[in-house]
Amino acid sequence: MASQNIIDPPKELSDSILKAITGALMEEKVPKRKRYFKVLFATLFTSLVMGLTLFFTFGATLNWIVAGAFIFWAFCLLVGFTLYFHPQPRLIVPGLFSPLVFARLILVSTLALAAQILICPSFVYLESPLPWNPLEGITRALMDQGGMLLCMSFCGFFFSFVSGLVGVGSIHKVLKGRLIYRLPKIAAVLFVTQIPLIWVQAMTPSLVEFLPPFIGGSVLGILVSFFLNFAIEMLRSHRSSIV
Amino acid sequence: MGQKPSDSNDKGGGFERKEAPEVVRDEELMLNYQSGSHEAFEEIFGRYRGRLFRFIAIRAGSSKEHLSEEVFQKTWLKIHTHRHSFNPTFKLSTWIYTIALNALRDEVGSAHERAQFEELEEELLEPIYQEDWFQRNELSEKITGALKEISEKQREAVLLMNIEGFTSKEAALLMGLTDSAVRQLLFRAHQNLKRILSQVGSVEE
Repeated sequence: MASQNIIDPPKELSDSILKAITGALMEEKVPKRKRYFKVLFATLFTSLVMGLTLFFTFGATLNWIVAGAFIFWAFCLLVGFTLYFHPQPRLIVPGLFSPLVFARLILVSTLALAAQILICPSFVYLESPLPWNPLEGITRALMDQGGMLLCMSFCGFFFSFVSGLVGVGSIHKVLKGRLIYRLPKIAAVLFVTQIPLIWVQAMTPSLVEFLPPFIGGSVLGILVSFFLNFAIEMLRSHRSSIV
Repeated sequence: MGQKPSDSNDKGGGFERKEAPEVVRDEELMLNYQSGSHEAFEEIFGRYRGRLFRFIAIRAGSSKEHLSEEVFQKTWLKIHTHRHSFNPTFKLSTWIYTIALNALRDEVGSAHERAQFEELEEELLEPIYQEDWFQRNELSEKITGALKEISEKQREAVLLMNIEGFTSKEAALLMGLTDSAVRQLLFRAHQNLKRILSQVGSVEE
């Protein structure tokens, strides 16, 4: 190794730190009301898009229970955007859980969960209006094989697996080689974003008895998504070490 | 203040060095940084980036370049996040190096990583060859070898005081020991080094 490499930090590294911290200091000078406005605008806009999509999709079958779930997700978005717009160095560093990282995880997993309702053909008996549903065949097969019990387990698994895969994937740089140590923290965030789904089932009398398999499936889904992310990360580091 | 970041040890790297009309103390700069001055931060960054990186790189080991860079980034982000907790009655350098050491310890926190770190310890002194103060000669090789023979704490005391130039009080703060304990460690380290070096015929008893 050349001596220059060990003596001086790489220029790009120095520049990125300098830029991130001076940027954060600039952000701190922005009036708070301007920041709150940004948070509110982003939350309202995203909630509106999410809400309208759900309304036009399931308009006829929407009820106050589903509306409650939607409000919780809107709250998740509010928390996510508050963390995102918090004045901070916009630098993702492996192993450092900054508000920016939490914001990304909350926002991505919330949106991923909400989007999945559109393709779940029988979630709380809501009829999916999509002309082609990739999950319809699987749901039928599961209902034939193991009835509601198996179907609900798969439902919990699928929802948390996809949101876990996308959510954890969005912050993979932070978790580089440390995924296993961060599991409780991330699993907690992913679980919180799933509360609306649990709420809807808990409040629907015909589905209450299937809540345990749904939660079991959710936990399994989170673990499998973690394992997959971990495997992808291992593969990436293996490839980079070969290169 | 207000000048571009500089580092007395930096040679190029995009940071111009300009002579300041008067040298502002680190602690004063830190107070300005605490109240939101980005010029103050730029000056602190310019003063410390080179030596902080060396401080981390020596401890991380030469084969773990990415580890040094990660800890370096983490340290600056922590400095920024915790800047309001800095007490200006203490030296800024001590505070910064303590954060760096803690960040480094966090990186080797798990048992598995600690095992890897122990392997790195073998290489701990490798980068020393690349520093100006240790020439590539027979004696430096013997000293490096001797430093590997002494205990981790003794080696840390030598690195902090004889190489980094910290006082015993500053080293004590960094190591979480008392001033007298550090001086005793250094004394024993010197005795051990002398003994080891005399065995290999580099120093007379």
